[in-house]
Amino acid sequence: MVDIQTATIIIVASMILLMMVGIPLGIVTLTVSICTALAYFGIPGLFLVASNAQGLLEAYPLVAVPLFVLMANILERSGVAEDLFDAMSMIAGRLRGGVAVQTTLVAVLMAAMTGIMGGEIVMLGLIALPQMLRLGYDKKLAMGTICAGGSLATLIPPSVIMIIYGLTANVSISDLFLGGFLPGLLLASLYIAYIMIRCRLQPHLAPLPDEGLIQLTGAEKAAKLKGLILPMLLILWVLGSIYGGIATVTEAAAVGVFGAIAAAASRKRLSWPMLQDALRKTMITVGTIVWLILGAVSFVGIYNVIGGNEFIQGLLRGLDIPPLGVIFVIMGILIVLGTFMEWIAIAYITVPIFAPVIVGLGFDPIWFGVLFVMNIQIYFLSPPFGPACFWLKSVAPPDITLQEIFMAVLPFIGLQIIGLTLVIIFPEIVLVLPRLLGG
Amino acid sequence: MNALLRAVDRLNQYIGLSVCHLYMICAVVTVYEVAMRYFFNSPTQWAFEVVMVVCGSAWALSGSYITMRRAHISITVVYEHAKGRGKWWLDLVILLISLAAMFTFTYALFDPMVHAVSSLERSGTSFNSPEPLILKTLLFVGALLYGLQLIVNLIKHLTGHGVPKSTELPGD
Repeated sequence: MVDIQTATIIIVASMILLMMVGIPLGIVTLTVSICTALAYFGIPGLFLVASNAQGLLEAYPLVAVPLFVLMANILERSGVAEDLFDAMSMIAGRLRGGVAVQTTLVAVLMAAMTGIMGGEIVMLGLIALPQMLRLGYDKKLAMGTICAGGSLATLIPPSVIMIIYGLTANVSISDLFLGGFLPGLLLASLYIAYIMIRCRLQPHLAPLPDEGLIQLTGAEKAAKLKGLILPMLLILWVLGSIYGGIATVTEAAAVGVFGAIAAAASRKRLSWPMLQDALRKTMITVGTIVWLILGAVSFVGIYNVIGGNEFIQGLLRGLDIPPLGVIFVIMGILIVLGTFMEWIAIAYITVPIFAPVIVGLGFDPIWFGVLFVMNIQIYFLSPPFGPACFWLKSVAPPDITLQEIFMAVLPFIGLQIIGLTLVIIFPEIVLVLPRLLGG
Repeated sequence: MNALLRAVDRLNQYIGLSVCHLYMICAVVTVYEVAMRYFFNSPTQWAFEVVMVVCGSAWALSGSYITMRRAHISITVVYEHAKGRGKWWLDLVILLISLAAMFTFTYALFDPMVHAVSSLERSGTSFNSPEPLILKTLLFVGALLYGLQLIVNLIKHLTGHGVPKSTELPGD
């Protein structure tokens, strides 16, 4: 049998080859794990593949994923986002670049309601983009704000990525949620500061509405504020049930489904066809995720058995660099993987290998989890495959090209890197809330 | 022959569109459990395992519907640039490798399933449902249907009635 180093090279090379052909990622990882199992253990090796896959169906925290996706799909169809956007226009009327600031604030609140990014970017693209383009905002500023704001959904709790990280690294998901909260607000503040400074320096980027700055009367303000009630209640309902000690994360997701149904009903948008459509969409989204993970867990299991994890961990530990250097090496690996792989596969394959190394170096796995999510967030925006940009493209006016969107997000990637650096230098930004409020 | 292909399509369509309702059941049972525990102080013995079985069924059985719609997550950089004949060959390679993998996987799942069924494997909790038995059986059935749909896709591809890759955005 070949040594583990050669085996690793063969495995990585064949995985890249199979992926590039366009084979579904779940099949790629399944194929590689089957071949590895057969090569090392013959037919009995298949038993390992089967038992890894079967184990996945009993992962209770994973149940939170379909429930959060369902909640988001119902909310998307409930029209709550339109009301919220309208409510936040109170701020927009009063300053230059106001609609972009408004969009970012709406993004933060949406992020605190849902845990998936795709739906949020599509919603903002449908609601906020036409508004900004109509007012004559710079296209790049508008699109960058939407992609960056929408991707906050991954960092501000609840977050599906954190559920996956928590499962694979075996750390508390509710602590991870708490950890992501301040970094999420930090990024949002950076976005808002950037928007306001640029609009101050280059006023032509964000023309004021024709009627000038608007002063609302008290009654108008009160009417607009009503749009904030439902989102706030939903956020309290879901996060409150987790941190009030009433429900686990999975249970809170189910509670959220009912919150979303109630929100849709109160806006008279609830109907059987609507629910049916939300359920079908959920089944497709979750099905693609689960059949990808099935392959990934089979692979991770086999690779661990043949000594792969130990080999990579040994390599990382053997590096003659300070502990923080190891973190940078790991982030470098994540960035490289991010250019050609899906985040779910990345999480499932790399986290079980990296997490023990991180802990061994004396770092907090919750802190690393937030770093991991922030890295994934950068990948969401980055060319050539940044999914956030593809989502916005799917709802943007047809004359906007993908290249334009990728150019638009570049400054915001810069801001994300600043945020990431701050979190590395000051781990407290992540750790303070879990320490104060966590289990 | 065509009738047979259509029958498989329709079966998987039916299964896919049926199992999506299981997620709603999952939410209902979970909320019921929270309410019983928190307000009535009498947590159920069964909710946890019922949710796992209900959710696991939806996971296992939705693979074939997604395969029919060709909506699985894949990297399409090279694929999108391929044209005409080149694309046809790529599709063929994708289908053949998928088939080989899925049938080996189904085969791998068979023995553990038979073992679980013949020994009436139970969860060993106080509720002690046959949860492992059901989930192992469902995963086998799900993989089998997935493979069956791949055969249908392959025949359609070879006879020139291939399904285009779904443009429906995968979720995140």
